[in-house]
Amino acid sequence: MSGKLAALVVVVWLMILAVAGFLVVFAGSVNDLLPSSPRIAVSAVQATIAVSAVTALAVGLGLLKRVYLGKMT
Amino acid sequence: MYGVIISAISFLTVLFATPAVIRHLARAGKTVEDFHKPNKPAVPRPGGPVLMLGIASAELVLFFLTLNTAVLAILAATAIAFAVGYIDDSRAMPGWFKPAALCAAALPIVLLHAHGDHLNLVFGSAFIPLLYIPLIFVIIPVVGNTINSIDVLNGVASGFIIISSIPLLAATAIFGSIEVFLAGLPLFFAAIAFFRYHKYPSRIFPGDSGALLLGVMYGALAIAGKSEIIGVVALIPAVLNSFLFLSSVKRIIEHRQVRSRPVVILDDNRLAASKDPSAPITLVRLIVSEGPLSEKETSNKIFKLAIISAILAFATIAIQYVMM
Repeated sequence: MSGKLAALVVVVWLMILAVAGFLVVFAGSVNDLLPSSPRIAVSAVQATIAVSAVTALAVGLGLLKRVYLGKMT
Repeated sequence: MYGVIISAISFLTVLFATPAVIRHLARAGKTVEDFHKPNKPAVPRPGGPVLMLGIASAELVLFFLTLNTAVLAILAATAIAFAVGYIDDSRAMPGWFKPAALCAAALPIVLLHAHGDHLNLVFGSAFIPLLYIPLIFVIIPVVGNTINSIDVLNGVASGFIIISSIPLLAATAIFGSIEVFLAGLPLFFAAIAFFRYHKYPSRIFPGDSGALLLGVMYGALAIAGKSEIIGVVALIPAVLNSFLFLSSVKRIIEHRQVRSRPVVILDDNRLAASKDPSAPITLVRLIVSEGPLSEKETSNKIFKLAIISAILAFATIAIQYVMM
């Protein structure tokens, strides 16, 4: 169980890194793509991207939980 | 030199004040049953005040030495989290209370501008001056409750913070500032001193006041030290525990409100996974699902997972350092 849980921790780490990478590419580049837009508009776009990424992470964690519990039974 | 002074203040204050607090709480009848032990002994609670005393003494000294507002913001956030937890220790509050009230702990970080405008995202950073503010109001309550929710076995909350704060301190020193690194030392050393009394078999429980202040201070350090993602990575087992619990019960509730316990206690006091499909899934339930374990064995498995996530946090620091 510890081995499986350790593997689960590593998979979650990789998912966090993937989300961080996604945010660097997409949320980080909004400033360059919308240079003359008002700050609030840029932030709104960044917020949408960030919420989408975190939602995807939560969905991914949910899938991971189901796979993990499925392997246990 | 400052580091040695404030580390010593926090460590020695908690180390020497805790026995007196244990005696005071026992005399005042402020005890709770330790459900995982034979005969369910009464254990004094909360230990939050002694942790707050040790951390506040050290942080105040550091503030007067450095006059750095980030130090003051971290201390104020920690003190508010302690107050929120102490209210919950004194009278049972509804499940929404702690997450909602902990938003107040985010205020000092925003008002004293202890945060940056860039979010470090390991492979680069994002300039989010406006978005960062609501993010702080999410991070602080989430981290506070994450540490609180893992405080289910003897020594786990304080032991977990000791392990997780090692990579966080390293990250704040590298990516943050020396003042924030120094402000993090009292968390580490106060937790070490408290662990001496909190470890199995516990002589004191931190209570919500102790667990929330540890969690919120950790979150405040991650923000002020520009190490948010590294802080999350070091907490993965606790984050998983919160996620598993919330995705099982599908709403924010207190553990005491759960109808079916995730873990049952056998006649020999070992912990076993509940067979009830409606019982919430937690980290402890997953750990004991392959076979019953004693409380100490279960705690040790949680610490091993914390060490693995701390190693991954160091790997994340290395990646972020290379990508800078």
